[in-house]
Amino acid sequence: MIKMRKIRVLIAKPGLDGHDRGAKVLARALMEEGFEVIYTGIHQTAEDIVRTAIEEDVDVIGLSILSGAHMYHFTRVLELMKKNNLNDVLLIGGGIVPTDDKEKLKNMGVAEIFMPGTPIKEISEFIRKNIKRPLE
Amino acid sequence: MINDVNNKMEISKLITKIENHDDELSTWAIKNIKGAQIIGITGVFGSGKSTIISKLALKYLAENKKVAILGIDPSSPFSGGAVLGDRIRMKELNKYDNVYVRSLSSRGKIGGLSYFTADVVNLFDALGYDIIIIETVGSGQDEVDIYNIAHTVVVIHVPTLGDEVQVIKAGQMEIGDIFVVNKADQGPADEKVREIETLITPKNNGWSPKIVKTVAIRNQNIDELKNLIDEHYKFLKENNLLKEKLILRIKYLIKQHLNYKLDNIMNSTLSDQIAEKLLKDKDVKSSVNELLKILGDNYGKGGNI
Amino acid sequence: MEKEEIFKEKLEEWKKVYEKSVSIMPERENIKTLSGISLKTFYSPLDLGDFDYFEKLGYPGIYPFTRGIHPTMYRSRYWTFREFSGFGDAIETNKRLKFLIEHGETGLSIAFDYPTLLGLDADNPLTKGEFGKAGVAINTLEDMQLMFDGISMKDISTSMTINGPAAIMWGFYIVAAETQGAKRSELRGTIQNDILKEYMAQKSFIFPPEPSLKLVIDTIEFGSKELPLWNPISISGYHIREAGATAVQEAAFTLANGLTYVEEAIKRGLDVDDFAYRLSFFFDSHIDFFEEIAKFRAIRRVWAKEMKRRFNPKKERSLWMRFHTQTAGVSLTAQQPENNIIRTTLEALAAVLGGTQSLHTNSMDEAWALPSEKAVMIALRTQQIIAEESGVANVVDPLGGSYYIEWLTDKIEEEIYKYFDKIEQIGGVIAGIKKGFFQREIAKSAYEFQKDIEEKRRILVGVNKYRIDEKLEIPILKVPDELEERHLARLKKFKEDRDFSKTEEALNRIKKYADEQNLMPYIIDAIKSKATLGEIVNALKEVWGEYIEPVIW
Repeated sequence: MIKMRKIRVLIAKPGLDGHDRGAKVLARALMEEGFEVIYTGIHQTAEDIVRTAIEEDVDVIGLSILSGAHMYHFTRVLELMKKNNLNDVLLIGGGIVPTDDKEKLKNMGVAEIFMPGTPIKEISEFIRKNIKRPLE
Repeated sequence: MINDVNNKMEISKLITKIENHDDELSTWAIKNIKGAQIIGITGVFGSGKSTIISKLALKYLAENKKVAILGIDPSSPFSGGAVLGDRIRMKELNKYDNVYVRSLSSRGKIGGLSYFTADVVNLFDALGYDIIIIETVGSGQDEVDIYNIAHTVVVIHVPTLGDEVQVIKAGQMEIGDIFVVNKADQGPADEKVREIETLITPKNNGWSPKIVKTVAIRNQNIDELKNLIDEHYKFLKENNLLKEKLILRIKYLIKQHLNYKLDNIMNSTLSDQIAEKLLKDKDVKSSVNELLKILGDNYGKGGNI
Repeated sequence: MEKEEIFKEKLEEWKKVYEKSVSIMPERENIKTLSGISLKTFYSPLDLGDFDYFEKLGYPGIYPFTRGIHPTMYRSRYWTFREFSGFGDAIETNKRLKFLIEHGETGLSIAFDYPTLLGLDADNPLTKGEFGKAGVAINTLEDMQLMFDGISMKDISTSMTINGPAAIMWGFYIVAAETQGAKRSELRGTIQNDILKEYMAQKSFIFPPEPSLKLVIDTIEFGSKELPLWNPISISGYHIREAGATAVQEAAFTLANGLTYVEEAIKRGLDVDDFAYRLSFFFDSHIDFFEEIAKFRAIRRVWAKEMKRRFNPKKERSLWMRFHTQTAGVSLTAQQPENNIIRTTLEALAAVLGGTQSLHTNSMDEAWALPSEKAVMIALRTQQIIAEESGVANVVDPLGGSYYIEWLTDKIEEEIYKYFDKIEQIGGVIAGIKKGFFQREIAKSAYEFQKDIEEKRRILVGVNKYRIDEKLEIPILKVPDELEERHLARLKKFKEDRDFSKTEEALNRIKKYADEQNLMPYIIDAIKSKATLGEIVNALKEVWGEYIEPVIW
């Protein structure tokens, strides 16, 4: 049987940060690993991101933040995910996030934050292992 | 089957189901088609399709219509993955509840739409969306596919800048009902209009394709574009062509489902065996017939290929 | 070439020695520069062929300036030690600026927060969570005055890294300096104000390309008349490089942008000799040591050649390539951050050997946060040690004449010209931006680099080789929340204490003349009438609209 189901990953840049090199490289690399990647571009609000996640029925939301505003944006997205019952969606992130903030975020429900320099394969394997809905 | 047609979460899961093959849901969708107006938009990268769609959607939303937008991007023939980036230019729609944007990949069908895109369209139709806009890259095959699904096909061009050569492809001229020269403020737009004019011929159904210049980013002439689209839909209605279009759509759907089954068999070891036999001592006709028989038997027995 | 036969003959002898050697100790495979230029085992006079010293190099301070734009370079005066700084609010940043001046910084460089960079005041809901995190928030004239409290603006040069609203920030600076008693003609500094590269790389644009370019030319025109010591633009390759471009792409795209600005200014009616000498540039200094040095030299030569050829200025100084350099942020690793000190040192050294006029050295913790005081001190000391202790500042262009460096300089120049041809074919820089040409080239290079790292064709120490299990042990700068509250309170009071009718009048004039006249005087008027940054930007948005970019892979 031709398998139809693909893992869908939303890559978003919340807030005002315009550094999109990492997000774009990751989107393209995940595509080459067989994922369907919805890339929203820069200047997204938490509302934009969660709405997109719902309409696109994604398995993963990945936030890319290099502006220092990570605590605020992740908190907002987590709040909206909870409010909308997005329980089966994995939330991950990447960018400039100090270790203690990373711990805080993981305790709040972010599955993982990837440092600059993380090999893409590590990210794609993490996704495959941790998505909450089976691939069938 | 459907609890709340306004619950986007539910709708979203249904789309995933039908996109991944669900005969029952496909049937339900067909039986509940309410008569949405389907608009196909095609054009090369950089022609401003997403901006035009966003502005058009706003116009329909202002009429209190429910709008669904399907953005189609090609999947990688190697990995099967895809980058779906059409939403980027449609941020302004996030303020509205009555619009739904979904990104689809061609799921391995090179240059075309995925097997079950028509089913997704039917689903939106059945869920009460008044306007369904489908956006594709315009690579060739998907334009032909769009023609089978949409009531109106809109082809977007831009003025030719500098030395580059922009080829107007034959296929586009045949399927386009409305031609748009977007970014009309950025180059010799009238030249492009004339170029298109020379290539247009009236359609078999009597419709004379129309041309319009727009500057979508400034919302210029989008009203005119919308009027032309609605005019075309009215033309189909008044000439009793809507039923014909629906039959075309369903035929296309059946063919896609058939293709899915066929491709499944061709991916299996069965087809390897048939190929080996053909090389040895069988002939082409009987090989094909054998395949058809397997397909038929399988379905006769409620098989699952 | 003289004695070419002898060189070739001896090369054949060498090859025999080489073959023997590599059969026991083979060379590493595919040795290339960071940008992908293949490298031979060694370079010799054969590689330079008929090298004409005066055509290619000249003496320092003389066309084509390959060896430096001044005859004595650092023997007279070191490059400016200029550390990029800013976070939180104006008062906090004022403290950091004073700290750096006290410890030997010789020029100021201001980093603004994201809201400010995008022309948004701190009380705009879109800015939630972003206040003061990536730089300082400056919304009003009062903020600018507080940032320079106790710092004499006429006695120091200030570089401000801002693009979309650069003209407005410049206005704040000019008016603030005047309230300190300075004359416009005394003010020294730079505004980055390079909108073309925003569309290519950094993405902190506000308005669409055409009106943005018009505003840049307004500033160049205004500067040429009123602020003869100020650089109204810093044409930048840094961001293009950081977004993923190679050294060649960085050089080519930046120079192309520069030439575009010159063309536009001349279209406006300005005489090239009135403004060209005040065009400054800003480049990256990345980790491939010799490639960067050669790049800087090639850039100096190409700029001089092209300025001469295309615009034929009467004054020599119109041909000078004056640039600031920043060591490569993208080369810093989050892993084993102390290693970044070494990286920054090498990159700084390359910039100095490349003849930069001004230098920012990154701090080791910048893959984690903005620099802590300790880290920025080390960064500053790096420059001071290079200048005062290492001896590299004692001779102009010390690597000139190296076969490798001269060959590589020529090679980079050659590649730059190939890009110039391509850009011309697609219709110029603006057409290229609209077609996504630059963005595509950059994204491609970024992607290939990532693949090289993942497949270990390129080694990043501590990341894909020599990894350790580590816990981060360095102190990290945190921006306290009270700073935002303090700033917002000030902003509120500022708005309450003014006569808004005057402000509104000034804003209306900006809208009226946006497309027709040089906006600088109107912007300065609005600032004197107590308009905020966000209000002026909104006025312009009403006329020019906002730009949403198409994403290009």
